Parts: sequence; C-alpha cells; structure tokens
Amino acid sequence: MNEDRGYQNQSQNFDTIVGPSVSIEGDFLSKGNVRIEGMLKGRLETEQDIEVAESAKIDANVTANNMVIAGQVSGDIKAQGKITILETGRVQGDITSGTLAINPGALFSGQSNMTGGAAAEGSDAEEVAEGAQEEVAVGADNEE
Amino acid sequence: MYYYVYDSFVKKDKQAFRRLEKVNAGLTRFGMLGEIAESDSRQGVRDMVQQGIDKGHSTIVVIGDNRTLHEAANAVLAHEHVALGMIPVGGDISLAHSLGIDDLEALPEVLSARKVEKIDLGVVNDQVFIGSLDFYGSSAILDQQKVRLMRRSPLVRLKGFFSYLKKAEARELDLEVDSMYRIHARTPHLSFVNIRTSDVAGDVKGKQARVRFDSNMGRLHLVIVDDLPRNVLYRHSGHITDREYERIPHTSFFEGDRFAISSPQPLDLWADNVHIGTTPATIGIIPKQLKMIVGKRRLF
Repeated sequence: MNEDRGYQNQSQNFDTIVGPSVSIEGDFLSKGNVRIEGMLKGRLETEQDIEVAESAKIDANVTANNMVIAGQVSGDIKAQGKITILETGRVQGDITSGTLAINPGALFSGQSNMTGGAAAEGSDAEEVAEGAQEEVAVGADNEE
Repeated sequence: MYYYVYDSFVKKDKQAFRRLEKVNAGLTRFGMLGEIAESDSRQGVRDMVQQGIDKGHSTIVVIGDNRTLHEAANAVLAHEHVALGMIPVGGDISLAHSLGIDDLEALPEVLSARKVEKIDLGVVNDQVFIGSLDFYGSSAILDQQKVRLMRRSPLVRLKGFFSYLKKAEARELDLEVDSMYRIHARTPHLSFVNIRTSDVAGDVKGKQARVRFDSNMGRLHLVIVDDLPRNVLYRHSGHITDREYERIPHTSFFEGDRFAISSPQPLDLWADNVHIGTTPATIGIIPKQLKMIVGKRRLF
C-alpha cells in the first residue's frame, strides 16, 4: 500500500499531521506547518502554513501564513500570504489574505478581503462553480 | 571508577554473553576496571544501581537491553550528578542505536571518553522513560516483535501472522494535549516518543509522511497509527516495531508537553517495553534531565 497522501507542496515537512480517522476539538495552536486530513472543530492557528487535504473537514476559524485547501472548511480564514482553494476545496466563511487563488470547480461562499491589493478589498465571491474563472487571483500583483 | 551493573538475563543468554566478551577485552585494554554488580530475582537493576549510587559512584554502566536502561534511568533520576552508560546486549537494544553506542568494538573507547549528553526524559505517572511510551491495540504486535527479535523459522512467522490477524484490534482513545485540545482516535497503536530509535529522515523511499521528528528538543511526539485493515496493518507491523512511522499510511503526528490519555476500558501501557500500568495516565516531559554517555553516531 503506497498511498499518495496528496501533498500539495512536495518539499514541505510538517510538524503536525492529523490523520483521516482522527478528530480534534478545541484550540489547536502551532508554530509549525500543519496538515489536516481528519476532522477539526474549534480554532486552528499556526505561524506557518496549513494544508487541508481532500478528506479533511474543518469547522473552525483558521489563521495561518499560507493555506492550501483541498477539503472542507467552515469558518473564517485569515492568512498573511496566499490562500489557494483547489478544485475539490469547499470554503464557507470569510477570507482575509494577501492573495487568493480559486481553482475551477472549487466552492467558496463568503466575503474575501485582499490585504495585498487595493482593488480586491471587500470583493464578494459566491460559489465559484465549475467552468468559472480559472483563477480568482484578486490582488495578483503580490503573487509570488 | 566505573560501576557496572549486569542485568540478570545476560549471563544466561549465550548470544548476549558472546557479544559481551567482545567489549570486555576492549575495556581491559582501556584500563576501565570497576566494581561489578549483578541483579537477580531478589534485587533488580534499580536496586543494584541505587546501591552503586549509595557507594558514591558517579558513573554507572548497565549491561543489558532497553528494559535494563529503563530501570537504571528510574534509579538515577533523583541523582543529577550521576552519568549513565550502557553496554547493549540482549533482545531490544534500539536505544543504544539512538544513543550512538551500538558499535561494540568502538564502545570501550566511547565509554572511556565519557562524552555526556543531557537527554530529555518522558514521564508517565510516577515513572520516567527514555525511548517511548506505547499502547499496543494487540498483544500480537508484541508477539510479532518477539518473532522478529528471535529470528524464528518461517513456520513460526506464519503462525504469528495468523495470530496477528486474529488478535489485531484497534481501540478507542481520548487524549488531552497541553490543556488546549482533545483528540479522539481509534487506533491499533499509539506512541509517545521521547528519543526515537530509528532514523528515516533522509530516506524518501517508502515514506508516506513528511514530518519533522527531532529528538531531545524538549517536546514529546505523539504518533497515532490509523485504524488500517488488518492485512495492511500486518504488512506494516515491522514498521511499528522498528518505529518507522513515516512509512505507515495515514499516521498522525503531534507534539506536546503534557498529555492525558483515557479510554472506555483500561488499556496496557508500555514504557521502553516495560509494562507500567494501564490507562488513564498523564504523560509529560522533563527536558535535559538524564546525563547519558553517548557516541558520535547518535541520532540527535
């Protein structure tokens, strides 16, 4: 069994990995990179990056540096850097980030606030459905 | 002068005794003579180490396996001036690998140099552990470990496999971490790792998880193996006993200072493979507590 865990950043090492059959409740505060494949309810904060795997279900307000979302997140998200919602990602809540990228097929219901670009401030995004813009990269000036 | 404590099993175990002979010649060459004590059914390793401390010895070398070192660590805990060394012989000597003292030919020189590193100790209830505190959802994993250690015949291994399939069972567990969050898991194996005994950090082949897993950094690592199908779990049982957790699919990794573990039914807990009681239990860490003689090739 050589199962691909579906890492988004192939060079990144994690300090915490929450496996698919594990559920967490409470304030999860970390200083390192975090990968969630299971369930988390409460609050999720880290000074570094978060990967939300396709199998993950998060019901929490989230704070991170950068974030890649392939699973479900219900709650407000704040990131200093970039938030990427992949095609399997489902986000319900407001997003505040430097930049935001939404892949085709992703779902995002909420308000987005781009701190990295003036044009993006206060823009709304409702359920970006399949076949929608290839990448909603508001504040793209600041993208790496 | 060094104080040597033999675990009682050593002289009865021919293989262990042969390994020891390799070291003895080197110790004589380095002029490292000392007082010798041996544990028996009445006085265990802890008692013998305590006797050495009472006699004023500040360097104690135990001869045995991981369990021997575990007992010695619990004896020297309250005596910060005492340095502990190990001559690894017997079944599970994985801690010696971690401490860089598993090369018996080089060991007399290592002991003679007496390079001491202060290492973290895990604490469970009123006991300490060096390597890990484990819950095994099935005694079959321990059986499997014994089979591997004893290098049994294929027939015994096959029997072990069927025993494993029959017995392997995941259990429900609840954990509280640093009084901040709670984890609920169903797992066949859980481990609080203090000093890890394997190093797969640079080995990408077969790795399922990319995780930072450093020892002696003042934090415990909590590893939770996923509730895998039994045949998959059996295939990875060697990775459990060798603690190559990155190779096991869907494994969870956490860090923390304080943990509380509970379960609907009492579950056996093993510290450095010594049975120390059952759940519930509280687990913590004492940073830089034990003075340990280490080699250059240690894993931390």
